[in-house]
Amino acid sequence: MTVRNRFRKRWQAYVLLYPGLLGVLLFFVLPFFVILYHSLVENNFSLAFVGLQNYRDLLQNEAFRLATRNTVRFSAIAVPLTVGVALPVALALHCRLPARGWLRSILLSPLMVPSASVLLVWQLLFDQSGAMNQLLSLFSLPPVAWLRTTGFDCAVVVLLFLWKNLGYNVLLFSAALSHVPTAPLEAARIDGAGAWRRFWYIQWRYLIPTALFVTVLTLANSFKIFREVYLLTGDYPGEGLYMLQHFMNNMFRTLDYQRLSAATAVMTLVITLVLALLLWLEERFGREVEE
Amino acid sequence: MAYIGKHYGNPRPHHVGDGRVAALSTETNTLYPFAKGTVTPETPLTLAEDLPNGRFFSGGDNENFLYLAGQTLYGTEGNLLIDFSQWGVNFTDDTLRDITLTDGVYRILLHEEGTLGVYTLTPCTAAEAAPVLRITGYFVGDGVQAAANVFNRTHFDYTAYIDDYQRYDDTNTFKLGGAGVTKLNTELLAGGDFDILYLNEYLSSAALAKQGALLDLYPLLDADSEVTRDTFVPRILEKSETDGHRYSLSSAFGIRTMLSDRRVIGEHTALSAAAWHALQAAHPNADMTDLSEELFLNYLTDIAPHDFITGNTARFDTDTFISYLETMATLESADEKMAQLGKERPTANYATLADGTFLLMPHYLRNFSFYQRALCNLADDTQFTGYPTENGAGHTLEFADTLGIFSNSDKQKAAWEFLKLTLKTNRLGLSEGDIEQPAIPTDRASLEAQLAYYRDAKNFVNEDGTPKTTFEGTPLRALTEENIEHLYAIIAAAKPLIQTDRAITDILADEATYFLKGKCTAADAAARIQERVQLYLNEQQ
Repeated sequence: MTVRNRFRKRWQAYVLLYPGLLGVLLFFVLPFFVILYHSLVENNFSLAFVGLQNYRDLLQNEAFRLATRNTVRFSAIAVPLTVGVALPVALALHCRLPARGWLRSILLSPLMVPSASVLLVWQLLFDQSGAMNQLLSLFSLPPVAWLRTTGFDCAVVVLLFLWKNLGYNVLLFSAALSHVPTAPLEAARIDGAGAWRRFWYIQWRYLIPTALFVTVLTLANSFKIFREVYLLTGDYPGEGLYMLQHFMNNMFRTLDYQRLSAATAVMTLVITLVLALLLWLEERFGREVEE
Repeated sequence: MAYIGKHYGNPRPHHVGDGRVAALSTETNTLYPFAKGTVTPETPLTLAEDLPNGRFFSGGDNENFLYLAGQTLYGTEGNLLIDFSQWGVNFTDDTLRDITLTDGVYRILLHEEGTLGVYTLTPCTAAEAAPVLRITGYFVGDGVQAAANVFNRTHFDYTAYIDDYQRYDDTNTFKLGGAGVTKLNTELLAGGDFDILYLNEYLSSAALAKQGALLDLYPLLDADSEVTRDTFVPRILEKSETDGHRYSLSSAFGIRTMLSDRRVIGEHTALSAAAWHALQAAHPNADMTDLSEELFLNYLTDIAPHDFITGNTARFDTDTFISYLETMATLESADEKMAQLGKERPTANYATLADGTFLLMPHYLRNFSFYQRALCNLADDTQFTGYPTENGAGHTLEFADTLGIFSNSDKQKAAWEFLKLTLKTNRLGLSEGDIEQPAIPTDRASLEAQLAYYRDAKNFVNEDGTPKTTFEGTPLRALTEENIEHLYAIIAAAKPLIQTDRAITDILADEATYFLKGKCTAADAAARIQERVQLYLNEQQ
């Protein structure tokens, strides 16, 4: 390809990307810099520059620390669980199971139901006199205040997250599994490799990029659990469910825009680092698979 | 003829200052002067029978209405069309009936002293528009509206305009504190064009002051020759200070307290929690009061910031608070018990206080009429005991129509003039039942003028020489100097009602309701309230 052709192709690419890039610039990048600016001033009215004071105050704030711990803990449990359960389910569906079409529909149905409607059902399920406690009573166990007891409240929300996101992850894994070449698998089977060895040495290698992608998506979705928790428990849930977005939502409500901006900047930085790591891993393992 | 076009809200009649009247369009910030006009019917017409085709402005019943037929306006009094006549220049917003814009012609209908008149736009030199002084809030009180009317009739350099963001709420769901508050907060943070802020539980002075959105008024107050710190009722100013600063000014207040009969419970000017438990033990058959659990919850919310929050530490997991929750549960069960017996639960009043059925009766001192009535009904045995609280100082002082000046306003002097005006606005009825909101003036001269009325015995005597009476039939008497000193003592002792963030109110209501439904114990509910409120307090640090 000549230099001129290469330049033209690159230029064409930029022209096609331009509208999307402009949107990202206007609605994400520029507002982010506005947020950064607000995180460095005293308040919205005097606009006096205070440097990193807002960040110092933020990192010393007990509520922010609690929110960070809860958010990290929730993501550390919910993301591996959701990804880890989705893969075996996808593998099971990949086999010739009867009624697997129905099973797929059942798994995907949570995605189609609005959260507010779903939460009403969950509230009834886990109410003091709800179905879960009635089930416990069948085994002569005492009732549990599911959403009001530290530990159980997080478990309920993890279960809710799993239920809501499992189907989509299964779908992604299923699509990836259908693209694994059958020739190496057949050859391995003929050579006497068992199911586990075929999975680990062949299928898994091809699934790594997808697994990383699914992890990234699930991680992003784990931050959106605030919506469900807020609808279940309000602005100030118990300490076990208080997430970073509760903190930020409440900062907006009390007009503490500087602390909100600082929290946003910190959260963006952490997520960027985590995503960068995951994307690097995806690129490295992806290249290995291609080779 | 000038075409006004779309106008923002209701245009207000406005005095230009040279004898002309005009309509102010706040959207374009322009005055459109009017010339007086007359409308006279050629012949009297009976109601609704001979009127030509037209349309109603308002009313619509068969008693009184306004009717536009072509270019002619009609109004009624009784069954006859009334005669319109020339208008005087002085009018008030109370006389305004309607404004229409039809085919580029603006018509204002006013009603004054039984006559109706119409103003029609005529070509004349437009007056220079005065800048708008914007008073913004959510659920702005009527007192401020009244003050704005007075301001507009007496000040020609600025026009006061009330911008109530409650209009942005969804009228279908009518959820308070919803879209209107969010929009207001967003515009505040974005540095909107505000001058005066109406402060209440939806627009918190504490949060705004912390953000630097409110001007400290003490420098303005101390530099003013007309209004000084001594202008106010003693101790009132310090009760609404924040760290020695003054971020708001209120024109009126009320006092929430409880009444008791000293013949029943003994001498008590304040009740600590320990004293209260002792009283309950000594009077096992008496009810505390006829508060429903909802009102009791309101009381808990009122006292919570003083009694159960110290600085940034919540103390709801105490025996005192747990006992309050348990008391709340007994209120409901007392109602249920009476219902089972087929009886109606007695209500707390002066008679049931005196005979010991109830130990305390909630009382809201909104104005001096309420104070006088309590004194007359219980006479020398009346005690203003206050709410039982852990520390025993239970009168709560609630401010009304609280205003602050936006720190970025470029009309701070005009805003200060408006705030001063609210102190003097005569919206305080002297007779009972006139006012629903707290109405004891913070301005000392206004308060003493009211007290002068209540000192004068001849104000409580009918024309035939018989004494006027309370609703209960007790003869009214004038306040004595001892009564007035006692009133000042209550004001001095009262703690200001802190407008807590609705978060605390919601948490208390949420957990108390869960407990009252029998889903947890009082101790569990208290522990949960403690956890959640402490979380809220940690956020604010």
